[in-house]
Amino acid sequence: MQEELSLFYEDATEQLQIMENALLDAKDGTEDMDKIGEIFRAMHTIKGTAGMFEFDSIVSFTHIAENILDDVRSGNTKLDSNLSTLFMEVKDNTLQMVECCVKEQEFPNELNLQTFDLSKQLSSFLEQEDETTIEVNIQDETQNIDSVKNDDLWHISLRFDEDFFNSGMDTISIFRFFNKMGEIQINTAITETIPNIENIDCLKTYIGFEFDFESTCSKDEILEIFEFVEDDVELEVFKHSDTKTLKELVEKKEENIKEILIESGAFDESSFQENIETKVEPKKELVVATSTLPETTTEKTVAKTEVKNEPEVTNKSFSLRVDSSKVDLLINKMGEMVIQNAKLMQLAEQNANEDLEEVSEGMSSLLEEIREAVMNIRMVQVKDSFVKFKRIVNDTAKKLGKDIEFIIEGAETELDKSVVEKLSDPLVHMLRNSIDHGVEMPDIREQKGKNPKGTVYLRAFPDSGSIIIEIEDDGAGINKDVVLKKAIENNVVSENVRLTDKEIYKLIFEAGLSTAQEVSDISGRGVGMDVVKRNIQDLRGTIDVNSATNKGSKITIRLPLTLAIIDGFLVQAGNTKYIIPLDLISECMELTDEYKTTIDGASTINVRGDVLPLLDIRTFYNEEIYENIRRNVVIVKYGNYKVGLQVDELYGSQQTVIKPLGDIFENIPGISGGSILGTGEVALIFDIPKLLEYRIKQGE
Amino acid sequence: MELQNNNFTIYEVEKLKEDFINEINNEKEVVVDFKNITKIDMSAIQLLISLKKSCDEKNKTFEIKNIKEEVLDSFEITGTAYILGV
Repeated sequence: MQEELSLFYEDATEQLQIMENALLDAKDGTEDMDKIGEIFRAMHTIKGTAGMFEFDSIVSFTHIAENILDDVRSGNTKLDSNLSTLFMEVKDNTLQMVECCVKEQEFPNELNLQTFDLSKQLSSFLEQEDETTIEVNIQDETQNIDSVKNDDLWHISLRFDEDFFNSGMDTISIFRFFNKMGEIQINTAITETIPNIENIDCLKTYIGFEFDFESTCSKDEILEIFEFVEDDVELEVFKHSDTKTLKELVEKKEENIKEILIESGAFDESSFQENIETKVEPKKELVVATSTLPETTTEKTVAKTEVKNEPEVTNKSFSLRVDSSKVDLLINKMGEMVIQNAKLMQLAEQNANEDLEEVSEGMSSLLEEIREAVMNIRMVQVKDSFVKFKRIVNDTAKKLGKDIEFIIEGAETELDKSVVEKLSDPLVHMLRNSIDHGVEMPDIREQKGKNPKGTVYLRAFPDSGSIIIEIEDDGAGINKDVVLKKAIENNVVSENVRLTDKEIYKLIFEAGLSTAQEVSDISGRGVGMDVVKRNIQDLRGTIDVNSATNKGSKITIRLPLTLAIIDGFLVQAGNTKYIIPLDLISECMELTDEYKTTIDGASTINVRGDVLPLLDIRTFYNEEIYENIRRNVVIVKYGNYKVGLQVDELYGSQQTVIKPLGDIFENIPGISGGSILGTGEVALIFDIPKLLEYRIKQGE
Repeated sequence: MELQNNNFTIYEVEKLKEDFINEINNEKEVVVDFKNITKIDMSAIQLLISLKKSCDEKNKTFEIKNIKEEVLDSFEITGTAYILGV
């Protein structure tokens, strides 16, 4: 049952998200049928699935909403900004109800009150409409009465897997739900296969049903009822008048259902006779819900069902849900395989075995491809994450009385799922900051000769092996003087330090620095932006800020494509091998005495006139020091800091699978993880930003 | 026999199956008293049909009595009321 419930929750939240997006696009009202359809479907689907779990309160609430949306669909009601706002509240309310139901909690009092209030508001819309559309409804109804006899009577044949009871879904609830969507006319239980009391395995399902169902539902809607158990049932849905399918059904079923159906009055003898072929309506085709029965349909209907189902099939192909830990495991094993293959290659080389080398090389390129494919599984479009921000921007702007156009660009850019997830909070924070501190109030914007409506961009695009995310606004820009003053006040920088504009802008990411004139509940407490910086750094990303007075600011985040593999540069210091992230290296050079200098006792290196601090990795990590070997320096650059790292041997670049180190290594400064080399040796991976931070602190 | 529990569902069927077998072997008439029952599910209905089958085979009468409204509704909606004679 838990599994079904979590499916229900996922499905419902997804539907509500779609609804929210559609509502945001239609916040000033819309006549776009696609958008209205999306909103309607969300309510309709949630009503349907909630009904299956007997969450009656959700059903009745969404039912009212659905009714109004149906009116909107048929053009009787206009979806204006008022109704749109109301539906946004309906959406939030439904989400709260779903959350309570899934957690099997009672609704809190406020929620009940809110639900009552919203239902009342919704009903008032409905009543208004009732008066104006009464004529149309009468017309509709008469049409319905005419059509009930022929078209609205379905026959449904239902059998279960013998393990169906394990699914936790009770058949009685399914029937109850059918009665909410229409009316079950004649239900015939097929009991022939039920053994007697001595022989029954009472945990197995033997019973089956043949029933007539009167409803204006489409067969897709009927099939939807079984969405959660579709693998556990054998289901056929066809029009009662479709005697051809009926005959096929009778032939196929083992039980003598023809007699049972006649006896129960569901069909009469004539329905089974050969000569009423004319009654068959070929366009109401047979639907086979389980894929196990395709041979029962004629070729013609098979072809038809296929054509009809095509879009649904493609939909399913990209909504496959896999537990992320399974993918992680795959990536992990993939990494191990890369390591094993590196060993193999080394062996082949050592033994000068050309054949083996060839095989190993072939394997290498295959592994490379597989690895790429596996890594690709984790890649998701940033779209889903980004569209959620629409609501936040909308709400924040409303709260502050600002008018903002939010433009998302490059939503189809792909990024590692875990990166996307961790990115969400920092982005929310930065967006709020842009709206709160960046974009001015409409009247001030007008005074400045700008469009009173501000614009905030959220962009994502790939750039040479990394992903760039930009948040840009056309607001007031960052006031350098204020930032610097605050920074000096808070001892973030000392008074006599000269900073470039960019360095000053970056100060907004320091702890305890809020330049907002007034602290609002949206932003301005100075906590947050430093957390943003930390989060981005944890993702091995970098932040850059650009700003121009009265033109706006742009925050640029550069992120690695994935967290699991980096391009590293392998070096050795003493007896240990280290890996330096390749993208942070600016150059390598031999360390000769002419470069080496000392300032106040601290080692430095003079690179073409630039004096940089020099960090001897050997002494820093207490490595053994070998004399009389070539000494090398790798110059790393992070942000505006450049440091030379003195090491012994340079091996070159290689793809590095990052493995976490054990807990006891957690506090080693400047080491972020380890990697296993082809030789089986362990190499330690430098966390350059932390290493620099540590070094700078030590230096002070 | 009077069913003691309020629920007659998948969690109770295995135990009740034993009780029913006992009942059918020892009594001439099998009368199941539903006066405590407020909830049944499909596995219960299926077990009752199975019991009814055995009664028919052994020429014993079968009856379910004191059915509450909400439980009766479950028999009716599933089309099994007629089969079980309720």
